[in-house]
Amino acid sequence: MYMSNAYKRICLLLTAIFLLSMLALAGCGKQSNSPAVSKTDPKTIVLGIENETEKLNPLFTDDHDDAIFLIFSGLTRFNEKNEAVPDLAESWEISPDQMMYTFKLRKDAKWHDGKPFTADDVKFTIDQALNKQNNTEINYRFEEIKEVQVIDANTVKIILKSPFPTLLNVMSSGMLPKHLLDGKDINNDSFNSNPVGTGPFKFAEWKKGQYMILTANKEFYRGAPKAEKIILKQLADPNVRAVQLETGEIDAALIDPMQVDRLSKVESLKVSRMTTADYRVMMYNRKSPLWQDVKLRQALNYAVDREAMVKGVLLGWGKPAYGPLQESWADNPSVNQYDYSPDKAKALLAEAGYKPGADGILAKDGHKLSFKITTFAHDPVRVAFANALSTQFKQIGVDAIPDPRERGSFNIGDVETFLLGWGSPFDPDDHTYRLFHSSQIGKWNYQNYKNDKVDVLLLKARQTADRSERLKLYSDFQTELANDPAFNFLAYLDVALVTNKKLSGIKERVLGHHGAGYIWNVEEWSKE
Amino acid sequence: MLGFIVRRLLVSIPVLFVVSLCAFFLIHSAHGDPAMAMYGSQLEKMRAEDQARIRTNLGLDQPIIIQYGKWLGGALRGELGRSYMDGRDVGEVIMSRLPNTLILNTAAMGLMLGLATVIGMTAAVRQYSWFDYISTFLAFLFYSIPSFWLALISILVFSVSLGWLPSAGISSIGGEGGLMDRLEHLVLPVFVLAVSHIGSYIRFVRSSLLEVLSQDYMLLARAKGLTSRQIYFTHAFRNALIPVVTYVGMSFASLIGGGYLIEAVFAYPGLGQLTIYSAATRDYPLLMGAVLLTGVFVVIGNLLADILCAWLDPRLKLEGSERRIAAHG
Repeated sequence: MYMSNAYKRICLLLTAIFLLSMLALAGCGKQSNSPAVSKTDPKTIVLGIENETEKLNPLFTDDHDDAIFLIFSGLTRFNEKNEAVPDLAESWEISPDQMMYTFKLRKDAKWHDGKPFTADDVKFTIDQALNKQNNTEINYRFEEIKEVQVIDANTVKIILKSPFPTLLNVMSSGMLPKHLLDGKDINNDSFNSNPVGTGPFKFAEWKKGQYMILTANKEFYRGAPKAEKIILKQLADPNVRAVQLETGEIDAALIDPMQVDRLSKVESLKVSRMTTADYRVMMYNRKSPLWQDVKLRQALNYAVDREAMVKGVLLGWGKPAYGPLQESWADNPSVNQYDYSPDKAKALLAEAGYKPGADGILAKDGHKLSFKITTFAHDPVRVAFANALSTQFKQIGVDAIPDPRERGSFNIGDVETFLLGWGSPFDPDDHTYRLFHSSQIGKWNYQNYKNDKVDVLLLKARQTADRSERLKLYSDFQTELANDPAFNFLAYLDVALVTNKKLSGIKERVLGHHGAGYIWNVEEWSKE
Repeated sequence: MLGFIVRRLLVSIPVLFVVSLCAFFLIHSAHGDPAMAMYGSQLEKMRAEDQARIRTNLGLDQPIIIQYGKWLGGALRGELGRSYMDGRDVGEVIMSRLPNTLILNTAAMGLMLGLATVIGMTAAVRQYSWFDYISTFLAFLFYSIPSFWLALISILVFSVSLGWLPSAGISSIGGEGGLMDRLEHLVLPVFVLAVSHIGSYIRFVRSSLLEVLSQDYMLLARAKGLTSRQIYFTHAFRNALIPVVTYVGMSFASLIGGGYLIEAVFAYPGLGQLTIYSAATRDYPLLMGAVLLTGVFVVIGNLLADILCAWLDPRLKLEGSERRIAAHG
């Protein structure tokens, strides 16, 4: 009796396993002949997005959020080379001392409700960004502005406190309609879920947590967009975004590199590798006495095998980094790139006076060469970088301990090292002055970096108009930054964009962090 | 009966008060703040001074007791505040999601309980039979399959390969399609949610009935010469259901947050995703609203379970509604 029961049980188990594996096989085997044509309407483009916008208001986004980018537009916009070109402003003049910008606005630009766009709206938008009552995070962009003067309905003059070449970038921020928002509580106004902008698409419907429908602005001043509708579909799970690309329920989405192999086999889809200006570094915080010694910093820079990190941590979706401006016109590739060389690293450590202790860890004056690599625990890529660094440093006798922590539980300016992410595809001033000028210590210069040469070069570069002169200044800055490293540069990240082959008009350009901006020319997109 | 319900509801007021107090202090003692959450993944790009400014604007620089007082004052007037993230009224945000969650979870619970009861009871009645072994095996199998994995596999099979069902969402975009469209979108999430819970319930129902069947009064019923049918239907099943009902009542509240993974995979706009998201972004008013709603569900769930138990077993007279009558044997 007992035997037969056990036998039955085993039979059952095997049958069930068999049935389940059939089910799984049915799932995997039929991929290639799945109905992978675009199921969506030919005049409608459906984009899969990971995170929904919170407030449809350009004051509340520092990235160019997809929905906000489609609904709003600014005085300038970025072209294929990420240079600021005219948008709502048709032209501008800059005073010789770089302190005054006069923008001529287009006369044919209208808000989606039909009201004309005027200079008053520009002044209103900047005032709101600087209003401390508004919970905006983009106020810093406008802090160099001393005064905004409305000259006439189509002319606005911006007077600066000091030269600020990034102003033309900053003015790409979406404009807000004064006639709808004047005197309102912008943090909580219903405008934020039912916005009126000047951009290529009008807001139509928003089912929160599901999708948002935008319709073409036929009177768009740069010409009506080709597509009639854009639907932004929120799909938090990367696997589901991949599935919906395959079934044709969405036309484009950024996906996880893990999905690339699978999706590149689907005939109806195109996988593109997009370059970004988003880099990862290990920051040397000068508050810690360890990093006073430049030789130690240089040694650790030599100790990193960046190629291996790109392969191991980023699955090949990235490239080794050597500086903050690699994706900019101001890049200087002739700086010391710290190619992987454990021997040079060891030699520099020996010069700095470090000797191996009994446990193989280097030490100097009785102090072990040991530090923590702090980073955000919620970001798996950063944690993986911290772990990889720890392994590589161990090989030259340096004890680096990965230290993932909950965001908000520590101050970035207080830890020994931090796995930092930064980078911008726009004007080189934007993400160098803030990061490396000593006046920014306590703000964005978390590493307490102070180098007099760098200070002079960065300040001069922002006060200079001529591009070739600026290029020279930024080149020198990069050389100095490499010699006196503030960071151990690790890698620039690539993102994977998957689109239905029916979709045309997509143009590549260097993107911001998380692939922000891939829809930059969306008004030219269409489906056959 | 009515008196009992009213009394129970009155008792729930201090319960909810304590829940809100504990939740408020716990939530505010967690690391991070809403100003930081606004910046998302690249937090380093926000300056300390901007964080401080936004904290002040939100009133987060005040002593926590004052913050709680303000929140409580609002809550008593029925105002739960505005979500930090999207600026909408918390009540409105929650109410926009509640129906979706209730539909998904009651459908899944109904399906799951119905199946689990029938399977569990059959397995107990035919203990050590083929059926018992199969159901036991399946119960353990379903219990150990991670729900998000089952969700992904079922999407791959039924949406990608077979193309029978939509892969995600609650309706086709634009709302065209009506009731059938809504139902089609419900099939996969309901199925996965039901299957992911059914294992433990099958086991629970089975052991509960076995327990009853081993009681002396079962032997008595047999000795009286009742048929098996009479024994099971009039005596055993009713008694076996009592602990099950209590268990269901207790887990009623997990309806709110329990479906988080399923909601995430199926892009289903329910309260689970909202609650997790509000916790991740430190959206205190929204999170407090969700916690309070969970508290309400606990109270209601237990009340319903008590009423149902009293109906199932007349010996359990509702406390205080009538004088306790001696159990008749």
